Amino acid sequence: MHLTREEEAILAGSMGDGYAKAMKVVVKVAEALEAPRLIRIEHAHISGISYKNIGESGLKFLESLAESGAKASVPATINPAGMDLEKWRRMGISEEFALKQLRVIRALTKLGLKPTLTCTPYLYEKIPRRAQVAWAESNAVLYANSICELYTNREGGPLALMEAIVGRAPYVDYRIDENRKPTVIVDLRSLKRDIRQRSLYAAVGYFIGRMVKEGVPLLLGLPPDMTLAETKLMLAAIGTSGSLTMVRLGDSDSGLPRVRVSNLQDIFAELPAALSDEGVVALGCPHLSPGELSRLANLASKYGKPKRRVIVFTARAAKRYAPKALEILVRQGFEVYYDTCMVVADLKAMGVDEVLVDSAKAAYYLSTQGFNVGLFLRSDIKRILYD
Amino acid sequence: MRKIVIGGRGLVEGYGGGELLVSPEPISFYGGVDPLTGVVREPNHPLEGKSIAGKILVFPRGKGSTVGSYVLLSLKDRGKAPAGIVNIRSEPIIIVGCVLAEVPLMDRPDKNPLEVLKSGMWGRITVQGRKARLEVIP
Repeated sequence: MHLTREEEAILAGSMGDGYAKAMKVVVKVAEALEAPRLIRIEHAHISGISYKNIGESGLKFLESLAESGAKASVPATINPAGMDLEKWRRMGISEEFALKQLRVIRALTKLGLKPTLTCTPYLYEKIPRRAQVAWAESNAVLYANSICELYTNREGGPLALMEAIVGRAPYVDYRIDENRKPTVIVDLRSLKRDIRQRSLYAAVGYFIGRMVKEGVPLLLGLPPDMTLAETKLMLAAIGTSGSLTMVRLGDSDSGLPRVRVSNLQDIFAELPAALSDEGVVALGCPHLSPGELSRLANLASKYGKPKRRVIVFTARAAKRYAPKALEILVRQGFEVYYDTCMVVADLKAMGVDEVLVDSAKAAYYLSTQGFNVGLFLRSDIKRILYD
Repeated sequence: MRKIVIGGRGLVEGYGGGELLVSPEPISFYGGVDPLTGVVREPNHPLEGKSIAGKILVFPRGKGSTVGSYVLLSLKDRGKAPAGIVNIRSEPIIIVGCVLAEVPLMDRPDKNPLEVLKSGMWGRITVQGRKARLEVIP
């Protein structure tokens, strides 16, 4: 693999131990993936933030890296943590955990990362079009490649951090235009009406991830007026059930191999949880956008307090864009938390046992954590909250 | 029985010796391996209940959450890291974890280790630069 003189020097320690270690990790991965060289990135998004996930060793590692003087060379953001940084007591978080989690955030901030604590950096960050970035967090990776015209592989949390520090990533796979062409058509046209009327985005996404193991599927027949919220729900599901890195949305046919999806039963059979209407409602996987918060607030203005417990997770940045909506939700008894989400927080500590979600991603991860999970369709939200 | 020698691609330098632990299935370090004890706890995994501490761990590749790299680091901190890792094809979770935890790592073995190696054999892994070698006795 070719390294520039500067890269060789960093590897040899010209900028100190922290940078040398980060460069070593990036170069080793690049060699294993047979990258011909590294490429400069313009932004990074790092996952593996919750103390619950990274543990004591992760914390110590981040602190020693920060101590070494290493800093991100590019603007970089971070995924949700294991608690709301302000309202953690109300979440049933122990003081011990909170102190550790705050140390993680402090170390990351010292490393030059912006404590955005959201899995939806694409909503709030200003990044040049067609830029090379290094993102972890599968829903963000799929959104970046498929919708934002950004170039990234599924970097993984610790690797994205190292790439942020050295400002470079291995130049392979989805960073190269040639590898971003569609390889297979997923034909959803016969389901177009159902998808739209019943809001089957998460379900369809989960099914696509299960079915297409590699390459870039071209999705035919999705409603042309699919919203940002629906897109993000679908992409998060695709990222959860398989290892795809990007999809393309299209309306034109071509001569590629084709998978036709026409049976709704097949789709529902693959879901990580059954459709249900029992349990505490948890919304915000991925984090609710300002638009979604405002639609939810419209419901709350019209119908008042929901008949059951509803927990909402979003980015702290959403407060700047939808302050009124958030006020209304809180007034109507919705529990709103920032900086964290249902997957990385401890829902058990919040007294939740049976949980109802509209996200296939959340359904999958909460099931693996031992929760009793039910799924509902986004289009049924009024019925779930009020009927 | 003769000594088995397997060459491969060196990814993380170092050397180590120990009993072999061979898994035909990929391993998820996050959730699948106890970060304090090194015991595999993924339900129905071929290695379920076995400890990877001090072993030469042979498996096709990593899988699961990328936070798995920190689990290798945690095992190192507690003296429970494997003595070395041999993959068919390494991916970033394992590579990053092995660099941080200083566990010797090789992949692309020149013989299929899942066919010729068995748990309970004893081995020694040596990785120098791009060259790697696993020597195994019964």
